Amino acid sequence: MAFFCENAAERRYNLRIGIAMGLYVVLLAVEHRFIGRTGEPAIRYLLAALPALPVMACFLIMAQYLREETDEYLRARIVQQCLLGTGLTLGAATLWGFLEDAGLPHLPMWWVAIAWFCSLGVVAAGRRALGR
Amino acid sequence: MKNRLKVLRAERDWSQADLAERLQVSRQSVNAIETGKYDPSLPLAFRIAGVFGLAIEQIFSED
Repeated sequence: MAFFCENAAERRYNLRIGIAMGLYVVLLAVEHRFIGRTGEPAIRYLLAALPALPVMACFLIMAQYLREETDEYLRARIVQQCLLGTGLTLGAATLWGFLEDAGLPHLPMWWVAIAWFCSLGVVAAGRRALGR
Repeated sequence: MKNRLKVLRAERDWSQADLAERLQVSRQSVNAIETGKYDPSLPLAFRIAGVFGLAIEQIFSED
């Protein structure tokens, strides 16, 4: 979701997402650096989960934005964008999952989160193209 | 829902940004309401009516 800095809620959203993405890069590097150095399952699970945390935080940040956004039209637009994006992502994930039976490579589940964020961009671009 | 926002703005020589500032919403919101792409909630409709000093039904009407 790309926002122009127009109001306080959007500015806070952009700042929080920026921090979460910065943390993601750091924690991904930590995971890659240390996960091969331990055979202890509990530590491996903990390390593997680290990069997921800031991505999960992004969903909370979006929910927080919707709570803080006082402009009802902008809020409705974002909710609609999320719903359309969710539909696109779930549809694509379902189709991909079944096509794996026919030989498509298996994708890790975290691709669904990435696909969802991309779908928000697709919806925004589609709206722009259609003038809506 | 039809509305007379554009006419009412023009009568007062207000831009969309002027009206948005008075309503404390984004300019996109004013544009979306004015062009009929978005129907405002009742609380926002009351705020719009208040800004123009009119009743809601003097601004908004059914298609």
